[in-house]
Amino acid sequence: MFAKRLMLISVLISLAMALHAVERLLPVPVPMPGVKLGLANTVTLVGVYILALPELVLLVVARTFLGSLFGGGMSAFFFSISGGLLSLVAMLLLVRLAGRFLSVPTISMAGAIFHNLGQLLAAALIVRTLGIIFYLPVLMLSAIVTGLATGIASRGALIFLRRAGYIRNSYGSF
Amino acid sequence: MRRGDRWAIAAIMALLVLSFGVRALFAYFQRGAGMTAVISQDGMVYRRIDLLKVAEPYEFKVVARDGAYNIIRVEPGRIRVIEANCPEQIDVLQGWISRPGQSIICLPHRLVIIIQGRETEEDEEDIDGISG
Amino acid sequence: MRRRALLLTLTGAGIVVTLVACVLWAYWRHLDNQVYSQTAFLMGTSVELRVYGRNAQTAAARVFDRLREIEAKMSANLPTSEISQVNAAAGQEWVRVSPDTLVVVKRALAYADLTDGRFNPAIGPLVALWGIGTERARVPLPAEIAQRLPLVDANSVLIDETRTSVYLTKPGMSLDLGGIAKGYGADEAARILRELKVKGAFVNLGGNVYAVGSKPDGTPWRIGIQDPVQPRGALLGVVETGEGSLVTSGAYERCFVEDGRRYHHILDPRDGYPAESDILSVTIVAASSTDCDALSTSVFILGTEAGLALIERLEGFETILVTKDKRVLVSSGLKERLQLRNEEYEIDETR
Repeated sequence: MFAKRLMLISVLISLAMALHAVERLLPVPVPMPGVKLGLANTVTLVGVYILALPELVLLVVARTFLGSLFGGGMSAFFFSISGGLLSLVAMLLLVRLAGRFLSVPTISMAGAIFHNLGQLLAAALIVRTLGIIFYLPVLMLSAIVTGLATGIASRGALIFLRRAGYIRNSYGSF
Repeated sequence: MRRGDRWAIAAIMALLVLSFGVRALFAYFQRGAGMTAVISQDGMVYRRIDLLKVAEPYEFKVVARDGAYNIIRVEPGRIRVIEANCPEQIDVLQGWISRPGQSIICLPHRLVIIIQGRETEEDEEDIDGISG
Repeated sequence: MRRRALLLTLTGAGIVVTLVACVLWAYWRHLDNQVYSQTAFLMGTSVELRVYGRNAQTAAARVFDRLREIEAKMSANLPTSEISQVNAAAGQEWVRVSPDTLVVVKRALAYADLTDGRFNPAIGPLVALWGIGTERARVPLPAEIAQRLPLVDANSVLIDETRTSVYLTKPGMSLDLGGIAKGYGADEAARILRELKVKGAFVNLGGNVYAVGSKPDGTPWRIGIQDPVQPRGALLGVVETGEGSLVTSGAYERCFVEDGRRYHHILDPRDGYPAESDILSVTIVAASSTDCDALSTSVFILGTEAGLALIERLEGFETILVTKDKRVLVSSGLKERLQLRNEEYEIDETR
């Protein structure tokens, strides 16, 4: 049981790393800090449905840490972890409390919005300027678009995993 | 679509509208006939430039302690980052900004350029103190 | 099941450690970038202090404590101060003072020597008579001035270093360290800030500026020089400096008008009237603010010729002199670092 869970988490982390690497290859469509597709967030989203809370936090912290090792450094870690954890909390609450009423893309959009909000707050702390509120609407808009895209992808992944028999128990239905 | 999705999407849209409202409110406080670019690093003002008084275009380099740098170009009425050694170059890609409330941010270097519409007072200088 | 518990504990511990590390790091950064500023009315002037670095606030508190201590020892307006005690015992007895006061009196006497008595710590009787800067400021009668002039005698101020005591030999004499104590305060503030290893700090004791360390962004300190004829806040120019002190003295600081004539606070101990100088303001830049303070007053009283001659005899001082005919005389070390802001003035290149 232990080895299986650990392996599952490790696979998810490496998957997130792979997606992170793929995303770095893609050009940034809108040159704004924080605007990106967030492919690696699909892993968190899948995790929200099948992992327990401590496992999830391990997943998010580990993938953010490894991700910022590849590029970014300490301050990049600081503001992506605040985005990552905030979005995790939002998605977790939605899935556990209202998972039966909400579809995966909706959860994903909410997660993306909180991810960007967390980043914006951390960024405001780092540069100590309220002026970056200017970016709020753009970040919201981009969260809705990218959240929808990654949400649809995650739903596909979850359905595939269940059909293939990898998921027996999940929190909420897809 | 599930039962709750409709409500969730409505809430998200409300948030979106709210965010535009917050931005409009922020821009309202920055309004004015002036146009001053305030360049700050780590929250401390490095330089103020009245963009309306720029006669000749010029460039200058902001170097942080750790060797991080951004080269900023100033032209009459607008300002941009033309070169930097940050990984993603988002500040460079953002190009020119020219309206009050607009800003360029280089997160890795903790550098912010924001245009304020508030008119700078005639003898407001960026000095640490006055002797005499 | 035990393994599962182990996994949970391990992940839990890992999460807690990561989060704590994260918060600590953010806090560390936050401390590093701290700026603390405080303004207070001390030593008869407004004192402005800005400190950068993680111990900014404690350092500022230490500085203000020290400045209050210096004020309590050297103010001529506090009846309990050491200076007031020395003054009260004039012509009667020696008064034991703290090493602080002794050092400042000694420096003041050295400047009296250098300037042939034009800078004079025994100016107390004249200062009290004119009352400039107080509500009872007035032009005294010539007889009143003549009566006090003999008391303004630096040679009658005796100090005993072994017993750290001061004695004024003539009854009615009094010391006034107004021309030097602020400088000493700025030096002491800078010493404390350096000892506490703050990243940078800016001290301004009513125009006695001391810059310590550097600004967080590495740019030089920019100090505005008051325009001597324009209202307060208008600048003659801006000087960019590194670590060190900058002090400006001018006829505009404290003054009053009677019968259409302006009387300023820098008194000439030779005739007892506000110094009739060809200088509007003097700025001195050096490592020691005590020296800057005493020298700026000295040069102002001495006038351009004698003042510059004095500066040239000494070493390590840079100056900006503004004369009444609106010429600005800048010493070579400051030429590159001064940016004039008022076009009415002209930099005199002949010097």
